[in-house]
Order: sequence, then C-alpha cells, then structure tokens
Amino acid sequence: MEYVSPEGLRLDGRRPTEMRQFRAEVGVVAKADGSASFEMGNTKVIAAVYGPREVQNKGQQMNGQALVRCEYSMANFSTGDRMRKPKGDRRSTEISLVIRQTMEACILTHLMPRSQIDIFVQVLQADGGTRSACINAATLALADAGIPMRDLVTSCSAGYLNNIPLLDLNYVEDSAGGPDVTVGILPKLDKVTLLQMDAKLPIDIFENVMQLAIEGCKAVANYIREILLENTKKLEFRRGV
Amino acid sequence: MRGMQLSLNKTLKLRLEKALEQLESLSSKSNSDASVTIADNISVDCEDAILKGHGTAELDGRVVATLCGVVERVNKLVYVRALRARYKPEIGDIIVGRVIEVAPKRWRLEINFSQDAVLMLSSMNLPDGIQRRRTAIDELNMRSIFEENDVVCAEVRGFQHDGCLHLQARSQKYGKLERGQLLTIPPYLVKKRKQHFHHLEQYGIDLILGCNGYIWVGEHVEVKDPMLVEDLSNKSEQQNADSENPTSTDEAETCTPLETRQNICRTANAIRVLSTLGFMITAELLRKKLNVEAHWEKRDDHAVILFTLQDDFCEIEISFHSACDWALVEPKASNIMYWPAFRRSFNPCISCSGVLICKATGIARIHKPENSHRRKIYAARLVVLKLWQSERLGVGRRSFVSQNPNTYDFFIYDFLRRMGVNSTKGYDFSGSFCSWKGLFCEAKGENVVRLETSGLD
Repeated sequence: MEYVSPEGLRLDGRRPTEMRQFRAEVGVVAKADGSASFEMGNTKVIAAVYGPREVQNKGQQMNGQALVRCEYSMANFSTGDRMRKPKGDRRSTEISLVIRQTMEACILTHLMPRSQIDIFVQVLQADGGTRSACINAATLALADAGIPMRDLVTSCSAGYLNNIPLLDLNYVEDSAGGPDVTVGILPKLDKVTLLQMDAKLPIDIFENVMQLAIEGCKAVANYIREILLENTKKLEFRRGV
Repeated sequence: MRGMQLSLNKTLKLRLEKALEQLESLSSKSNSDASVTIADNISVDCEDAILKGHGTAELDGRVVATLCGVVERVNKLVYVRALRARYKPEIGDIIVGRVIEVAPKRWRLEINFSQDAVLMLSSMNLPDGIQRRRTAIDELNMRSIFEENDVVCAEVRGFQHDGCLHLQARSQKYGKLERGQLLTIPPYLVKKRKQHFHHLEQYGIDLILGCNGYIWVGEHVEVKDPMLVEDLSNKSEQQNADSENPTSTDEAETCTPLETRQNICRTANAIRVLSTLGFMITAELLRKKLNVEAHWEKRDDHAVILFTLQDDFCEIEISFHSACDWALVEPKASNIMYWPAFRRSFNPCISCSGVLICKATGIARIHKPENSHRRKIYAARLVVLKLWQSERLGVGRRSFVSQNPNTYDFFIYDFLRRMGVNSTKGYDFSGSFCSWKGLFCEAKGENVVRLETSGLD
C-alpha cells in the first residue's frame, strides 16, 4: 500500500515531517490534585494525578522517596471496533509500566518521602500514538499538581514507511506493520528517557527516524510550556495579592 | 474547565470575562516575568551569593525552576511559590482535618498533606480541661473524644525527628467541629493571617479558614471558659439528678435553626464559587458578598434588594435571569430609573445606593462601598410598599410581552400614574417631559436626573 503519495503527502494529507495538531487543557478533573487532557489529531487522552498522598499499602512505603504508580486504560469506545477488554491486559500493563518509569525519571521523588503519587491515564480516542499522548498528558497533569520535576518529559513517535521517515504516525500508518519508534526526552536536559521500537531498522535510517521523533518531542515541549505558563499566569492574577 | 462548573447565563459569563480581563491587565503590569514553568531559567543577579529555596534546582551552574509558580526573592533566598499544590505545613498553622484512624495514644488526620498528620492524646486538652497525666483509661476513652470521620480543628506543632507531622490542640477553640460543612479548596487561596477563626455575627455562623485549604462553615459555638464549663457541668449533673428526663431540653439545643442552616449553605456556596474562579478567600470578602445576598427578599414574584451596607458603596451591578417588568432605584427619594419591560436581559450600572425593586429573580452584586442612608432607605421602603399596593389594587399588571414605548415620557408618566398622581392637578403631561413639575433634567434635556414629588411618603 502506498502511504506517501508521489506528491509527498500522507494518507491524512500531512507532509512526512509534519505533526498532527495538538491541543492541551489543564485542570479538567475537579477532584484530582492535577489533571490535563491532551489531543494529537484524533488521539485524545486524559490524565489525572492524585498525590503526593499517604501510601495506601504500607508495605510499599519507601523512607527515602515517593512511590509513583501509574494506571493506563483505554475506554471501550476509544477504538473503531468496540471491544470489552479485560482490565490489566498485557498491552495496558506494559504501557502503564512504560509511563511509570518515564515519569519516575523526571519526578524529584526524594523531596516527597513516604508518600505516593498516582497517575491515571485514560485513552478517550485512539488514533495511533496513544503512549506518546499519555506521557504528554501525564507531564501536564503532574505539573498542574505542583509536583517538583527535573524537567518536562515529552514524547512523540516516528516511523518508516515506503522508504520515508514519517513523524507522528496515525492509526492506519501504525497498523501498516512498519517500524514505530516512540521517543521520550527531557528537552531542557537533552536526555532520552524512553525509546521503544518493535521492529528492525538499519542503524543509519534509525538515527534519522529518531532524530525526527526528537524534533517532534521538542515541538510538543514548546507547546506544553506555553500552556503551563498561561495557566500559571491565570491562577496568579486571579488570586490577586 | 474548572470554571465551567459554574452555571452562568450569557450575560453573567460576558461580565465575568470582562472583569477577568481587567484583572489580568492590572496584574500583567505589575509582574509579568515572575511566572515560571518547570525547567525555566531563573535569572539571578549575583550568582555567587544566593540561596536556592523550594522549587529550584541547579543545572549547569544556572538556577532552574522545578515547579510551575511565581518566583519570590527574599534577600538572598530565591524560591518558587507553587500555586496549585498540596498543603505544605508550617509550624503554628491552623488547620482543619478529618480523623481517619484512631491508633494507640494518637489519632491520624487527613489534612491534604503528602502524609497523614498525627494528633497525640498527650498534645491535646481533655474535655474536662484539667492538665494531668493521660492514663490508660483516657486512652480507652479516646473514641469518646474523636471518632473516625470526625472533623477536627488543630494547630501544626511540627515535624518529629522521624518525619511525622504532629498536631496539637491545646486550647478550647480547637477540637471537634460539628453542625456545618467542610469545604475543600486549593490551599494557595487561603492566606496566612493572624485570625483564622471568624464569627460572622449577623448570620450566627463560624468560619474557620484552615491553612490547608479545608474550610469549615458551621453554626456558631461559644468558646467556653474551662472554669465555667466545670460549673455548668456540675450544675447539669445536679439537674440530671433532679429531673427524670433531661434529654428533651438537650434535643432542643442540638437543633440548628433553619435560618442558620440557610446561612451556612449560602456561605459555603459563596466559597465554592469564589474558589472555583480562583479568587482568594478572606473573611472580609465573604462578609461583603453575603451582605448583598442576605437582603434578597422574595415576595410574590417581586424581588426586593435593599442595599444596606454598613460602610459605603457606589456601584451596583444588577443582572437578571428573566425579564424585568420594572425596577426602581430610590437613593434619596429623587433618582428614578425605569427599565423597560421588553428588554429581556440587561445589566444596568447605577451609581447610587438605595432600593431596587424588580419583578424578576436574579443576582445583585455590589462592588465599591459608599455611604449608607439609613433613614432614606426607610423612606424609600415606604414608596416601595405603596407601589406594591397600587399594583395589587389592580391598575393592571403589565404583561411581560407588552411592548410599551421605550421613552422617558412614557415611563415617568407610567410611574406617576402608578403612584396615584395621575390626576391632572399640578401635573401637565403635555410637552417635553423636562418641563413637567418636579422633574429635573440634565443640561441637554435628554435624561432625567431627579424627581421630586410631594405626597408620596
């Protein structure tokens, strides 16, 4: 199948190095300590952060640092075919773990000893790149909850189809079976915290694809930064002196 | 979306947006670059001599923020004040919490902090008010003091060496809170003050602004002197011995009057609205807000707003949900404002104090205070009553849909007619309305500024 037309346009009309439009909103769940929703094109996720709060299971309590937990779930209505998936299937367990490890790397857990931070991410609409969108939403939600972090984590995916590196794959491109590289970076520190690929790719092409994904991450980081700054200013001026 | 939880009509929304814009423009002038997000650089003048406080970290020799918030500088100290975050306890803070566990010699309290706080039995005054050693019997009776899910007010005592947060309640004003509502707001909206216990006398309610963002609104309770309590308890014991069933009087005491309940709900709602909008909560603000709301009287389908602020006010904003048949503002029995019936929704700004009657339900908000005219308001009240009567006596109610001419001539004519002075004696309704007796127009002759009528009181 032809994923990039001879004119250089993808199936949804984007150029190979073009991202989908993103939109983020902070403070979407009233009862949570921090929450955010993040959209990348038709992919839409919502994240809620509770904590730092008392550890529920005393056996897991750590004296030197906070416990970070993450739960990823997909709404039944999020995909084209409505499927009732059992909670805790392999895919969601794996993504929960990925998100947890990525977020734990940037949270300054040693500042909140003997407490627990819960991150809940729910996919409302799935159109490829859900794990990137989840990480971006979780970052926003953690920042909204006032949890100290080293840096913002942002994530983006890139693929390689028809011998062309493509940025931010959607569902159709994702299910084509080609390589899908998900990258998570700390933009300010310029470090990679997440790198996933379940296919084979020559090393020189891989570097190109990864570079493309990193560019995407930086674009997301700029946007998230804007949203957070705007939110902070809004809260501050409303509070008054 | 936090703001979306308020159900506002279109006009109110517009108004709110405009007010927020104004607020933003005011604040953006004062400090525009103080807000930072995570990993933003914080510019420091003298790099060698600064202290990095909360919410900052060092990266490649530069200071960066680890929180979203506002940069604060105190001498050499640079820190980031987080806005939306959990509560950070400081010694001496007055907090409100909920008991979640009764443990040996201690209660565990949920106080919106990253850990549960501990209130030791030894760090609180027992109800009998005597300082003594806590015995094993006291320990067994702990549930008679606080049970699980009780709401408790206490003071932060400090962190123990093991990192636990300890509380104390060594005064009569601390202790169990009953008959009221507990509200949860973001802690950054509560400012630390000298006074966190407030008694709103005119409503008979107590307001406790806990530093941890838990706010208690409840029926007023007199803080009893321990000695007096002792006397009373002795007396009551004697009474108990005397009378067979003392429970009936107790029950009468435990019942909160309806009015107080209404006031509690009203205060709680005011706090909810203000905190949803992200405004700081202070007792003064609530006092003012309630002052307006408290004077809503609903009779028939009229709503009467009496403006009786203690200090002073000058601008009133009124907005109505439904159509207003007519409204009258009478500050010194002189200034008449008439609003046409066929403007379905409107928000007039009147620069005066007084009485407003309107045939609608709505919300009135008062902004800046000004002189109150106690006596004049009574006079105005009389006018209002008279108007009602004339309305009742069947001059005929104007229907909501009637399309009356929207002119001063008509409204003043109509007003005078309703006031029962439609006889021609002394009043000539021909010609320009500015020439009518008792009416004073501004120089251009377009607007009525004053009306003086005799025989109206």
